Amino acid sequence: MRFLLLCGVLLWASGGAQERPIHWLQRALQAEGSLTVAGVRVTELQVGRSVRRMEERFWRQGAQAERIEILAPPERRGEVLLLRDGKWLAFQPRTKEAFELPEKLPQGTMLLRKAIEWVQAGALQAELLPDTTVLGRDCAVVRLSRARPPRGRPELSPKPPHFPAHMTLWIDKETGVILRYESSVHPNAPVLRMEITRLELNPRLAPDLFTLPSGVTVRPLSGEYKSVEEAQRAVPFSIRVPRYLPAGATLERVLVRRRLTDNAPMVILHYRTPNARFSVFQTHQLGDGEFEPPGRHTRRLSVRFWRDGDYRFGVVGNLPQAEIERIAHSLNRTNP
Amino acid sequence: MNCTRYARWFWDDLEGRLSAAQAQELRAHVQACPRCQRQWEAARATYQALRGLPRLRAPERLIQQTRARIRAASTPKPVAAWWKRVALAPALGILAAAAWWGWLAINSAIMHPDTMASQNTENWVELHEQLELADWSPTPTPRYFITTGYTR
Repeated sequence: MRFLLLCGVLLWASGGAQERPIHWLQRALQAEGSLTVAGVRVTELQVGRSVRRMEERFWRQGAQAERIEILAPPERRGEVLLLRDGKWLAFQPRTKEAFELPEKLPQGTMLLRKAIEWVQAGALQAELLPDTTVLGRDCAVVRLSRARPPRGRPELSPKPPHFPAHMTLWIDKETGVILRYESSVHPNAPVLRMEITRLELNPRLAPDLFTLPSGVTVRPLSGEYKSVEEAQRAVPFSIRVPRYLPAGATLERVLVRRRLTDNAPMVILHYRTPNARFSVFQTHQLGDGEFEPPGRHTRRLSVRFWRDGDYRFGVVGNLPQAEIERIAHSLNRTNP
Repeated sequence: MNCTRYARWFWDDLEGRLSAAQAQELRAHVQACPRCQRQWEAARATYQALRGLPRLRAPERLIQQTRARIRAASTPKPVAAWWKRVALAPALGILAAAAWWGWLAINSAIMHPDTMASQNTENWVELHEQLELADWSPTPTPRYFITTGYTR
């Protein structure tokens, strides 16, 4: 009788445990790292009225290899992203050039590891929403949000992680594959959505699917640089770096953007502090174009745009306006 | 809806006069239709070029003459037959609408060049937000597109 009771308790406990959100996250992590899947997925970046829609075919062999073929936007159709030996390469099948993408590219496994770590540390709150169906498959819906400190005891709260305000994952109950994903960096802010619209489990993969065609030369991807010094070689003007940075700020990435419609390249220095992010934009253009709109707040971002000689600057971030102004001030040549 | 109708929305979109739903619908179509995408890029380039024109003020004499003519044109005239007035009303309505639309276009394109900057700065805010978001994507594609430009 005792044995039966014990078995019952164990069964109940394991069943209950399975329903805990963190176990679904662990299941998803396991699936990301081990399953072979293929299909089509759509990712959307929605910022205000603007929606960037990306559609792609993908083939994934656990965490070891992945191939992505772009379907939309039409201008980028046919471009291939290839994960091999832990590095992402981008290439167009018609050309003999491939570009190595910068390190630390986001991936499902990294995302899930962080989420699990922070849920276990109590910095993230995970809750199960009612089950739904995606692609005709039953899904557990896990919603993650930053944990609030206990009332009146902020000292008991763990250090808030750098994590979106909300993240929701629709995890296939049978396989653990994330079929739908949505995150928002801040409440009522831009949203990132991903949804798998076609899924094949254990597809037959062509042997050369994850290999580069022969004769392809690999170069670093121009546009993203590890340091200002590296980016400096790619732009015809002297990149200015803020002399003042808030405490704990580190330079996360340096981007140089060139578009046909722009007259000059634009440099973006993207910084992170323990609690915030901000970007410093700069272009250089000879002449007296108008560029002096008043500094203004968006709903959650502080911004400052101005001109200094032939430079146009912008500082955007979720820092107090006074901090943004200090950073801006330190970029001007005339200031000590 | 066909391409012609979407093409009519280009300028409204550039002026920010479309509703959120319309703007989203237009974006989706432009992304899916290479022809419209080329036309939209051309319209945007033209729009930006117009906004880049220097702000010029008409000579004071020309302003005075134009105002005098407007005043003269608005003085009451002998009343025409009632049927003429009825026929004239819709024509005047159309003319007024066209003039108003034209005034809006010119006003926002040339008389307020700082709106050019605000358009740029909007893009910068948008880029910053995209950078933040892309780091939390389960796939590398958004980050790749932000680095290389969404449409190159």
